[in-house]
Amino acid sequence: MTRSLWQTAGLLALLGWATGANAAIAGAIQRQPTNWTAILMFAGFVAITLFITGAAARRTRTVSDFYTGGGITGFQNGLAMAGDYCSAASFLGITSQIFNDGYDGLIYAIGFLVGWPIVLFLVAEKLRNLGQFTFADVASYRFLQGPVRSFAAVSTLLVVSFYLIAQMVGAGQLVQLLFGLPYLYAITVVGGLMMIYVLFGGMRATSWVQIIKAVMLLCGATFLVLGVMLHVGFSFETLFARAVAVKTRLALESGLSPSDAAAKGRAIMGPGGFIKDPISALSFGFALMLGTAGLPHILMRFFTVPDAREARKSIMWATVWIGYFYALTFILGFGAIVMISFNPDYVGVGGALRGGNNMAVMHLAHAIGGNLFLGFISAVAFATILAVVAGLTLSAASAISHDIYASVIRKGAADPIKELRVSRITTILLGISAIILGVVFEKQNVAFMVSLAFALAASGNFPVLVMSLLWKGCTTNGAAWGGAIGLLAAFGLTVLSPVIWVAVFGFAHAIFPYSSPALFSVPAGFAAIWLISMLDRSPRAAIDKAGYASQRLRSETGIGVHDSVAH
Amino acid sequence: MRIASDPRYAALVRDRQRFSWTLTAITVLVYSGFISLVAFDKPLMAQPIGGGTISLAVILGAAMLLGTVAICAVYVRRANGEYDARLAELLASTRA
Repeated sequence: MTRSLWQTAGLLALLGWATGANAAIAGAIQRQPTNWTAILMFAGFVAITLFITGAAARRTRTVSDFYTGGGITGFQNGLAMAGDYCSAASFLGITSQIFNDGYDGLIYAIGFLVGWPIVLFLVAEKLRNLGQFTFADVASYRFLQGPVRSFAAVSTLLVVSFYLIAQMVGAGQLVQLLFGLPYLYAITVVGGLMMIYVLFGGMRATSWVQIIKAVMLLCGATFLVLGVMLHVGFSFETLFARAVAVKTRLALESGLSPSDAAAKGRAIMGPGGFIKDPISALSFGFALMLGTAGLPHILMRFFTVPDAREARKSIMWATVWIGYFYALTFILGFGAIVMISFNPDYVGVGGALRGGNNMAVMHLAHAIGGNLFLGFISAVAFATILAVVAGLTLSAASAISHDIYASVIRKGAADPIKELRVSRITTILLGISAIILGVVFEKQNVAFMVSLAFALAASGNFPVLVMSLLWKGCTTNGAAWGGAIGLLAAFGLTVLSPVIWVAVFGFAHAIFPYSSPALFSVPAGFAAIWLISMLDRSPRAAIDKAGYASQRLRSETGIGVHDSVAH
Repeated sequence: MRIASDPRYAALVRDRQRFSWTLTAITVLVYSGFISLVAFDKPLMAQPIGGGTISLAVILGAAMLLGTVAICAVYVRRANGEYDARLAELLASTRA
């Protein structure tokens, strides 16, 4: 992808950059020499996680074991959420964005973080109190199971598919960059390992893969930040002043006048070209914020803890670690400006990073800790993708086996052994399709797919959850059809927006001019649920409304939770 | 069910709901304010603070990260403390 395309793709592309693993696809990919240190370290990570999967497999016998892992603490779950959320791409993408343009990278980082308090305040405890395995348990609690579960399963599969394609393609690209191995190897390794984790270890193995990865990523990034701070005498003022001096000198060398060069150097300390029109900015911000509260693989993590109290603690810790991680990436971006800008081993002629646009933090790792540490950080980046895809696969598999098979087809009377078998078959099918999709989309622009996943989650799942939890008048038809309209609005507006209409279809002007649909599609979802529920005169609507009181009581108090949660 | 008609239950739900919506509103407003500053007043954001290199944007960005963690801490502290204690008391007295 060219740099100019990035600019047209704007916010959305960068959202994909920062959340999807497709970090590496910005800029030309040059396959690197085979990096055996990185491969060995990664093999070590795989060995540990397979060992854990083996241990988890012996304890994964019931459907509940498979979907929830038999229960972990809020602290562990918080780490696992951070492991699920902090992708390789935020690590590589945001640091490189700061290395190039300075401050702007922090704006995405903040957007990714502010969704968490919303999840905490509005849905976390009610979700835990009402649900068992999937968010559809909660969304369909007092409604007719068929329509609402079907909506939730379709929405889960859509969100997961777009997210997963971006991760698979990103993994392939990243492996070419970091390990020097071919694309297909990477796709197969990722698809195969995620199948093994989920198939045998279920949620227990997935949680531990995410926890280990989060600890590795946080430790690695902390070590790098210590290296940077040591270099600048532990003074932020020195760090920023030297970064400005470096950018000024680069501008002077490119032939700018001294005053223009000074202004260009200073520009890294404030917001730059990232946000052009305020509508896109706000819309993008809302997609991030509300999408987090509708991502099925994140919501599913609430059922791994025993009660609402631990669910709240999970988010507390997730927010601490994710916030800490983004603060580290900010320092690393500026550290990279100071430490690698003038080293010809890292930066080629014209200021381009060697190996691709997203390699800033990798070069910084080499500058600080040598080959061994570079290998470690590369292995962490790849492990990160595995942790994310395992969580995605598990949530898609449970949408099929728990929501569609057990609840809709078998009307809630499924044989648990058969349900478990269905989830495992689904996992295998998902693993194979993920590999095929990874191959099919290798050369495509997948940057918009993660942002589309966030927009779909914000416009479909989030309104359905909020309305079913908090509004008595919500009915089966309102939730199922209103949610579907929210999804369609997000999807349709994304197709009509510049990232697809112009960049993919090649039309001259986008029909929908903003880069994110959320500011319009989220209200559309809410309005549709409200309107359809208000007009709903069916006999079922009366039952739906009458069920609110007991749903409300359970969501607020947790009475009855332990009857349904067989831990 | 007896709990549902207990005035302490109604009070608990009302208090917790008011608290969570207040914090939600604060989060949304502060974040929208931050994005609007970024969108509408870039020169102000780039202004150095205290005569050094560090700009207002960096300070506000760091405050956003810290503030997000802090507002979660405020909610969890109260919900896991005061509200859970009131709920436990309510459950104990209605079961007894």
